[in-house]
Amino acid sequence: MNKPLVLLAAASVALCLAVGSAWPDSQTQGKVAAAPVPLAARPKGHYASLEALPDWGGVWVLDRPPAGTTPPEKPALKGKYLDDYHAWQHDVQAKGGVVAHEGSYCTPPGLPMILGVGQYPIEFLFTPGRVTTHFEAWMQWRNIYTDGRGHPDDLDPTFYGDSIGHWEGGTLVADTVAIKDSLGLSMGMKHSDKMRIKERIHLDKGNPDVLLDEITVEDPVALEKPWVQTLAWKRSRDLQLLEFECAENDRNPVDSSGNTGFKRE
Amino acid sequence: MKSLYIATLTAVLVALSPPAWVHHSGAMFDRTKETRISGTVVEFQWTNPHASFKVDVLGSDGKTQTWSIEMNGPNNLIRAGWKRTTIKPGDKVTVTVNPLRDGRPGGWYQGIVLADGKTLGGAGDPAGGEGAAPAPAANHE
Repeated sequence: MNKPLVLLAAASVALCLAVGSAWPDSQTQGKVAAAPVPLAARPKGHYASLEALPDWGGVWVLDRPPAGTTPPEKPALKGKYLDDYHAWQHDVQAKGGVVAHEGSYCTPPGLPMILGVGQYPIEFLFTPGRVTTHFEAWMQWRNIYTDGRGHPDDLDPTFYGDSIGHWEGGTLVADTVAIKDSLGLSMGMKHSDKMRIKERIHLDKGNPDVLLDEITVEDPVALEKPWVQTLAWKRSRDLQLLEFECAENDRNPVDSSGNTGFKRE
Repeated sequence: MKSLYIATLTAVLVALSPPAWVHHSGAMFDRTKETRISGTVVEFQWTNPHASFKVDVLGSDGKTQTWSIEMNGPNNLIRAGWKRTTIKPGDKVTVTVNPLRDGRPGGWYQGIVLADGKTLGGAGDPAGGEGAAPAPAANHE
């Protein structure tokens, strides 16, 4: 038997096995319970209804409070979450300021931390029944469904969780659950899988080129009390989002101690 | 000083915002120092998450050292006036960097004088921007 034929036969068997494992065979098909199907990305609604919504056009750049102003409220961690944060602080101090974080591997921070990313702008898209945020950093997107649906049961925790919302005049009121508890609440701070993020997003009454997000993070497991703060973005109608493929040139490998390397080549 | 450091660290890290260094730690650069080098561009990488370029610098001993300079990403460099064509191999430039702590010839870009005499400044820290909290490493000195 010549060699190419053997290889071809082996490849065919491997392919059949692979296909067989990926697709239910005819005997089991129809007997398994239907898997929960995510709701289609074409929610109820009509484009004409979008005319009534406020103008959130352009892109938005995070406007950090100037140095010297009152710092934002701190999350009031408790129990294990507070202990872990203190341990993290001491670790950072012991390592001379080296902070090991998932971003070194091009992993995005997810909610709520991505809301606090500066410099890279965000934009909002209105389509019937949902508001989509595009984050230039890491090229992420987030949907807030406004078609009246509730949160599905038994959600898989994800980076952006499940967001539902509704409009109260010009304010988008959003509720988000099911965010991975491996992600950060703030630098060095974790949250539990019970975290819930409530937001009221609206233009500043005094300046329509400022967008405000009043954020309340609830987490009865990790927080003594809800963590409340307001973030502000400034509008730019001259910029547009640019591509950001983080893994294109990752020249900063991280070693097992968390030290970020610097590849000269 | 230790307690002061802890206090400073705490103050800059409690906000919702991630650190100014959103992609990786900036601890390998000495943010308290600025080094100026002059030489010839030998390579320019216009890529995310960080652009970078190399400059051959002729030392007083007659030997050439190649400096590797890391920058913010193209998105933020574009908004600070950079283009993919701003520098090319062969250009004579003077560059200001925060040098590597380990003494190797490399650093974090802070500004450049181009071959035609035009200057460009820093493009901020990754995801930092005006008023951003400094990287933890910057508070450690």
